Amino acid sequence: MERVLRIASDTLKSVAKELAAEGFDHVKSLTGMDRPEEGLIELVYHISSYLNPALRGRIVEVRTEVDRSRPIINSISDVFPSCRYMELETRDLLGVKFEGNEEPDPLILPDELKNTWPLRKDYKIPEEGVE
Amino acid sequence: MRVKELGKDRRAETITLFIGPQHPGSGHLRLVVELDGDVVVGIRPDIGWVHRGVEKIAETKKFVQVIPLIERPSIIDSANMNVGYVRAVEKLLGVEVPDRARYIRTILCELNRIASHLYGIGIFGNMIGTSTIFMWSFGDREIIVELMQELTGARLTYSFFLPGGVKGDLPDGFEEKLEKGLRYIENRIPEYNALFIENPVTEDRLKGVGVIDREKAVEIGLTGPNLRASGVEYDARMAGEYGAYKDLGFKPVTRPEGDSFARLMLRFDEIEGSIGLIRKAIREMPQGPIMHERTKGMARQVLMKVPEGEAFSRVECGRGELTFFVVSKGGDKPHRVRMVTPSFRNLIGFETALVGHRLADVPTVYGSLDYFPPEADR
Amino acid sequence: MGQKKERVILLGNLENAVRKVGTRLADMRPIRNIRNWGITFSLWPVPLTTACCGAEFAATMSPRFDMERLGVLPMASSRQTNVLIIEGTLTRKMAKAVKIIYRQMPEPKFVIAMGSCAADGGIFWNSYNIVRPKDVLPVDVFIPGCPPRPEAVIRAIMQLQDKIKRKLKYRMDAKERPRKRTRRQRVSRVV
Ligand code: SF4
Repeated sequence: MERVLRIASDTLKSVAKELAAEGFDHVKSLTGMDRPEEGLIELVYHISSYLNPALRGRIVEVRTEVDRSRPIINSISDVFPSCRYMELETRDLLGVKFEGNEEPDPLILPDELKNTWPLRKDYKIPEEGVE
Repeated sequence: MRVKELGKDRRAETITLFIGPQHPGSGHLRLVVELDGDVVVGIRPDIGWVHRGVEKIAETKKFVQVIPLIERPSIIDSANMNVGYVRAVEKLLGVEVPDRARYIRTILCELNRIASHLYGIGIFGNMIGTSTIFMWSFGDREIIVELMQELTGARLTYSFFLPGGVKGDLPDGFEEKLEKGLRYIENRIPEYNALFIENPVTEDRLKGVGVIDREKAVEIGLTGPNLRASGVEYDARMAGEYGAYKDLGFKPVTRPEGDSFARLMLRFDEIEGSIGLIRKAIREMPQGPIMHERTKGMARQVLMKVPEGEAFSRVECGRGELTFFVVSKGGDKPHRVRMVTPSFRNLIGFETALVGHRLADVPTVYGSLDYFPPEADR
Repeated sequence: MGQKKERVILLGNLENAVRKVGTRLADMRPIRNIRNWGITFSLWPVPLTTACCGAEFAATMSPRFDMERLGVLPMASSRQTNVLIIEGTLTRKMAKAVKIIYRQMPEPKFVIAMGSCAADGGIFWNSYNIVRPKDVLPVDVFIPGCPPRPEAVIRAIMQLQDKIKRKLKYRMDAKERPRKRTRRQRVSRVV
């Protein structure tokens, strides 16, 4: 990765706006990672550009962390609409609340799994192997 | 016709229509359509009917066992899915793929792209009521599937690329068969033109329907053929991070219109482009090993421990750009595998493309976006 | 006809009585055989691509394997169909929809579960979001494989046809419960 930005969670929106002003125009991926030992959920945005020939193909990695017990962060879907569904998915699977991008129903989980966050490390599923 | 045009004083201004989840498309998606008369004023896709938790299950499997798993979401495009994951693991391992393996990867990926586009075109034909095209393209797809089966041993799920190289070399006499198959597909394209594309019915139903202009397409982050049909010249193959695209001089095709017709035509253009790439790859293929020394042999693959780190990879699938973010904690199982699939990124296109069109255009736009639900839901 | 004579008691209004007699008649040997033969070659599945196996099912419909020669023709609406082919994994969300679709289908109806996922989870056995179709629906035929080859799908269709030819008992009214039969009668019906 050519450029990695580690930022505090409350500056995410202003960083996103700066990147947008620089010419970055879409979010390629949004990854949420649970880190229970440190009590954090890490969010990794990969942002890139389609139109700007100088930036095309370059990817900026923006990393930020939210508290695991109170995972709330500003949504950047008004700056980059392309990450709207990714934010909703992260909300479903990791329980991160994106302020400004809220929908009552879960996006991909069924209703009965609402508010269980499968991608958190303490959500156990059976594994292969001899017991 | 909008309700108001019939006169005012209607109690119901708009109605909400639920389309799906069971419908004759490919896989399941429910569209919640807000209708004013028969004009679409709002649309909300409801996904998750095929969500199987691939990302979670990947954390319980060894690195090499994840390969079949991440192929399943887009089974008709499995080689391209496979190469994306394998590239990420290779970056973590720090191994470079031998040249011959890169060329073999390119050939299989491009073959799979042709098959995947033919699948999409067939489903599209079915959706707009031209079942002849469904039959044709599925019949023609079998030729490509047979070729891939000859190379890898499976019809759809190849798991042919392993970290460090490919599983096997081209079989004897494969080049001739490949050339024969490609020539057949090439000769078929004019027939599709005559029957389907230059057909006034198709043109009337597709031209100007579901337009996504250049700025909008970039803003909502469309990807793949849908993006290029809106005139944006971007293709993950251009970066040359995988396969032999850099050596082969790959150039993406674009179309400026951004409507359903352009999206359909772009798929045909890409089939032709892929045929050209495969021919060139066969001609220029170097000799040499097909697997890196450090990952050779089944035992090394299965017992592979991947050093701690993170890797991001992107590849161009049939439906668009696929990105993988793989995190390893130094064990034999990945700590986190994140895949953002092209269909998931194209999902937002429904909201943009359909508003203002008629209800009868919903299947047209659905088909032209080439949306594959298992891929989006994972 | 080695069948024991059964007495029919007709009570209630005329319509019910006629319906009951019709059911009985349609269940007698020669009529039943002809009817089963007819059903055998008009198996119309619902297009229900629940997951990736749908790609192989679509290939089975394609000219190379051509399921229509066996009388299998997908219909767009579940009201016109009599076979439900579960093409792969069934998620929790989809299982509810599948139940509704199954209830919409007219009798007699059959279920084929395609793919290892539909049999017992397959590669997704430890997923948090799948159900086993056998817990939800009465499955007639399972097709193993991930994904099963089109030849396997055709074989499953032929097995189902075989099953129908030999065993099917007609139920004119979906609500009517099958009568209790003695063991001897059941044997005579099956063989
Ligand atoms: S059996 Fe295999 S191909 Fe079929 S749905 Fe399951 S994973 Fe997909």
